[in-house]
Amino acid sequence: MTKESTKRPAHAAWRRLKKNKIAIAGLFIVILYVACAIFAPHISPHDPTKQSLADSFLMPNAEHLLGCDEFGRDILSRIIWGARISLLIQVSSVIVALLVGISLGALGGYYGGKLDELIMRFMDILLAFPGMLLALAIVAMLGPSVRNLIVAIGIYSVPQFARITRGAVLAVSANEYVLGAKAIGESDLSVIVRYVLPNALSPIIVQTTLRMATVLLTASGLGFLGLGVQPPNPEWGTMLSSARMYLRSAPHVAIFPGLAIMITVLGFNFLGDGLQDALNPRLKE
Amino acid sequence: MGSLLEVKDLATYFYTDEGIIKALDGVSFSIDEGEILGLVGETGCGKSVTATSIMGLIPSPPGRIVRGSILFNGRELLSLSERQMRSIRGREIAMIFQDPASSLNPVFRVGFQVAEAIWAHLKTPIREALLKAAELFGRVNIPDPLAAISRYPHQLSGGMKQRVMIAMALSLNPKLLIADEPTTALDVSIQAQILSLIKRLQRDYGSSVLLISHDLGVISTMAHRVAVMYSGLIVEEGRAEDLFQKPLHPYTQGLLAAIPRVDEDKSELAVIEGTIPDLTNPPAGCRFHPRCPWVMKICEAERPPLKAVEPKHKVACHAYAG
Repeated sequence: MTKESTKRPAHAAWRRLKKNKIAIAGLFIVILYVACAIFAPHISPHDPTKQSLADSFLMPNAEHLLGCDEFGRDILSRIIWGARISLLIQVSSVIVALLVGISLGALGGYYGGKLDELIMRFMDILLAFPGMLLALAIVAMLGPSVRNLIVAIGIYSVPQFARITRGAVLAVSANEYVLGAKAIGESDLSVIVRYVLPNALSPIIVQTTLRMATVLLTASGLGFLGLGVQPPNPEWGTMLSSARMYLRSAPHVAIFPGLAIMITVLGFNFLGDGLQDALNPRLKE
Repeated sequence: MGSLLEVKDLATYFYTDEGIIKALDGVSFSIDEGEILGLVGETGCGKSVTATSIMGLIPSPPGRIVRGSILFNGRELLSLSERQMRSIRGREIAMIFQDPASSLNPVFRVGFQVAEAIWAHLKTPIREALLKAAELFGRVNIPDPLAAISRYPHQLSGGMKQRVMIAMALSLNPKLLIADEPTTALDVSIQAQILSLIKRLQRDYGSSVLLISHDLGVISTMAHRVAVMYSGLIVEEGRAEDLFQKPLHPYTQGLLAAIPRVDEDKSELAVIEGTIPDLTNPPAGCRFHPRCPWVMKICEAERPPLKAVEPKHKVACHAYAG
């Protein structure tokens, strides 16, 4: 077996991604963010919920690198622990949206006809609601909790994945190897799972990455409105919300969680755009 | 030798917004065991629809088989359930497609794809199936088969991909092989290799072949019998030597005359006047009559039946009536 014969198509995409400096910066931010979330108990310098009123509004110093909030809690620790909650919300809600969206999109795109029509019109109805409003309505109905937040954001992300999957499935299904798979007697399920979806994956991967950014913004937005993660749990949007009252006297309490949101969202967007170019090199022109 | 496949009065329509496209409108032919039947005709005359109708792979909607019968090995294919049809596809009837570039799944290694086809029908353990794939690759003259099974489709040339497709089609030793323009997308030199490969394997395996092509040269070197299609109908059918020596139907004669020959000194190419008819609204009577040099009154009113005018040589033309 020669070395060349084992090369997978994914290697070529990785080579292209490596050349893109902005995408690599995005990847670096995302890795840092995920590491913060996973290792929060080990790397956060203080307990994120421990109050110390003597340290209220403490400016950044050697002990508290990013200062303290109104209850004297260490902001750096809260941001690190906040990554954990945000990542949990992002990953779970995107998984919910992926499972439902890919199934619906693949069914619609593969079978077409009335089923497709039915699914896509339903998606159109969901899309007609402003996303934030839909999530807001669901949370208001179910009550604010992390689980309900995940359900709400998951549902409102379904149409995007359904549409992207349907489009990709339509394009892939036109290839002769799909007809060929049917001609060797593969069942519909096997054709969809083994022939259609693997070839429709790249737009879905890109969409997943970009969606991570949107989900983070929505979760923070809901937190800011008091419908997301409830205090004293450290979540960036919730932190921003309570800090806004002290914006004049202690701006650092609001600035750091705000920066955390901005940098993380940018990271996911950079990575998503980079993946787009790496996975579909022909689209770039 | 009895006939393996018998297609009778097959009609496949496509219901579109622009109207009903009568892609096939009463096609009848048969293939004997161990025989190569060549199906010739211009683009859009219904050759590929015939193949997909036999496989039961007409995209539906918009397509539908509205009447006729397809008897394969004594079984009526049109009355089988999707599940029964699936066990016939690949196992008993296999198909090779026109464009090898898009006929293989780009995300799997080619050996795995062949092994997968074997596994899907016989449940052979994948390791054994891979060895079988390598053996098949050897049979279709792919150099270094053991290395070739772990290649991805994009690492193979068009000719090699078509060999992989043939290996896949033959993996289950099907009784009937449908080859839909198997060499059209290949270079001429590769074409000859692939054709002689198909012919050799057909002899070795004793399968029957339905060879679809618009290329009369390909058909004449390969087929035992030939059926000529025009606008969703078979207009002439006969043994290859009879049909090429003495074509009866004016359309077949026109086709043969249109082949440029090196030994003739002609400055212009012969053409058949007119264009192929619109299948949503085909001409009444004989569908060829607007282009026919022998057109008579009856041709505009009545469709001529496909009748034997000489032993083993059928034609659908009013000029041979009576």
